[in-house]
Amino acid sequence: MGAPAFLAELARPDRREVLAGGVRSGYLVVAIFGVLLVLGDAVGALAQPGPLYALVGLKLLTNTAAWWALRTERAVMFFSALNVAMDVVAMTGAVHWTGGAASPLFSIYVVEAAVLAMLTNARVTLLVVAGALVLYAVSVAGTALGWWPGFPPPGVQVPAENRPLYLVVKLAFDAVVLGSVTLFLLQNLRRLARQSEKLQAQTESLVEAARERSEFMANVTHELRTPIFGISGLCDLLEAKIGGPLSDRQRHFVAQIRASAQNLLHLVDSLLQLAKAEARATPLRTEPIELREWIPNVVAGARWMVGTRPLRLDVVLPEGPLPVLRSDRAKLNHVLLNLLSNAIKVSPEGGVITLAVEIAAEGVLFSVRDEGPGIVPEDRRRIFESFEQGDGSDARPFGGLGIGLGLVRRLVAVLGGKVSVASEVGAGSTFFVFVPFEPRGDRGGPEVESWDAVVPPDQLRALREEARRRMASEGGGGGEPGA
Amino acid sequence: MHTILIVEDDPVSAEVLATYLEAHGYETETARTGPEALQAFRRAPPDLMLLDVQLPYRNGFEVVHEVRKMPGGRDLPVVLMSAVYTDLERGRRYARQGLAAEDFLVKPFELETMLARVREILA
Repeated sequence: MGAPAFLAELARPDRREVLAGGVRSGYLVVAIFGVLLVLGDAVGALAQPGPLYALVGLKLLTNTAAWWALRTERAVMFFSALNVAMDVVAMTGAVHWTGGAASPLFSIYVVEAAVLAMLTNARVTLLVVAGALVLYAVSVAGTALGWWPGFPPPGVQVPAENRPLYLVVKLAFDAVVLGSVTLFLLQNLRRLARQSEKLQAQTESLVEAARERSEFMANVTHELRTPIFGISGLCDLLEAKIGGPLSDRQRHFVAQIRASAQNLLHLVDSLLQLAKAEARATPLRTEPIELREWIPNVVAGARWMVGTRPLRLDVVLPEGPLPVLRSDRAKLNHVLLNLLSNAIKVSPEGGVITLAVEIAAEGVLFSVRDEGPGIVPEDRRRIFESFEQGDGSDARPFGGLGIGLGLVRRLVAVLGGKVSVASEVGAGSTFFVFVPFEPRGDRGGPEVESWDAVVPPDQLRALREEARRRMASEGGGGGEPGA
Repeated sequence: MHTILIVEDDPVSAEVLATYLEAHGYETETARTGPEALQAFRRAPPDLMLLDVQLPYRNGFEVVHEVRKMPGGRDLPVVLMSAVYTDLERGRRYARQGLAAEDFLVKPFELETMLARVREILA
């Protein structure tokens, strides 16, 4: 209460660690001094060990009181100040009873100044050092004036008439030593503090800039969706022959315009999601997902992307009731749509795309198979890096593939799952996404795995067998339950 | 014949929607901002409002709120549309507060889908 700001600052909750550190180092110093005292006493090096024992005991007491105050949050300021004051008394006492002006322990003042300068602030350090110097001066002056015996110290021969001068010079010298060391320490520490402040300000402005950038990205992408609606709507109007009949070639062109608009839309969505994922702005929102209801929705979205292209989209669901998946619907939606959109992009005319769902022990395994050109082994890991294209060269065979897969990897990692890819050049690729029934907390760790670690080859074959069997039983048509 | 009030600030989108609906036998009126929409409503209440959420001056949710307080606005069917996915969440929240819209379309949607919903509501 009513403590000056530079003291009150130390008791702030975020600075408590500093005070706790002071208590810890207090115990360490007491222990060291205790041992030295016992040893020094044992070899008879100390003329007056009694007061020194008392000082160690007192310091132990105030240190424990400060520890208790921190533990119970009671009178923290008072007991911490008392503990520091006791430091000064104990140090001066130790100097006084080990030879005063000639004591070899003078340097502990410097140690205390250094510790305080590091742990507290400039004013506290200066205040304590000044207090220590006053006490020290009293000790030395008292000896010189004959209040207590021991002056001049042993080994120093000073004629009686020169004693006042000697006293002044000695005190001034000690004050200059201690003062200059303290100031040096403080100056360096202030420089460090300024640097760390500057660094913190820079970090903050960088974080702010990143946030602004992703907000900007989000805005831009939203703005981009509006003209895409214009384009696709105009295509709808043309196809509905509202502007008059179309020739076959014109119809083909309209279909191409629509396909481009759809690609553009997907690209824009991927950019938006990536911006969000990079800013970690999309928190995990878990909800139960009924696979049998949800998968047809995803497939409907994919069919929209297929448009009028001659592609077949098959869906393979296991028979019987499916377990409920607890995951983030929007993220999972985006993951599967991304994979399906890639499959659609790379599929040759007449190609078959298969979305398969398999229930594993700890989660659900989704796979999306295409009959595209496949991915060479060196690229299988790299395509999951943000913005990386399948080729890595200037050739951009399937525009936007990289953005989508980088995002897939990030989203699946947030869901606690894994992505992998199996591919054969010339035959096609199968992308696997494993999602646990419950999202796991571990967001680190390897997110991309080589495919055989997630799906053993025989299981993959079983998956394909199953797909083939179903296609046969449904007369070769696309199996899409509930759609 | 049913009249549909289209509230949409993007002129191309507004034209597309109006043309399509007119081709399917609806009368349309177009407003480009929230205040314009409210004026149009006051002048001649439509049978249905097709309302964009991202509007200048006043967003679609605010327009619904205002319309609901106007005479005859209590039961006006409203179909909201937006290019922003997160508006969908907000739309659901508003629906729970009794500002219900009949449907919510995320742009870009197929005009056929929109027509199907409109027909269903006005049937």
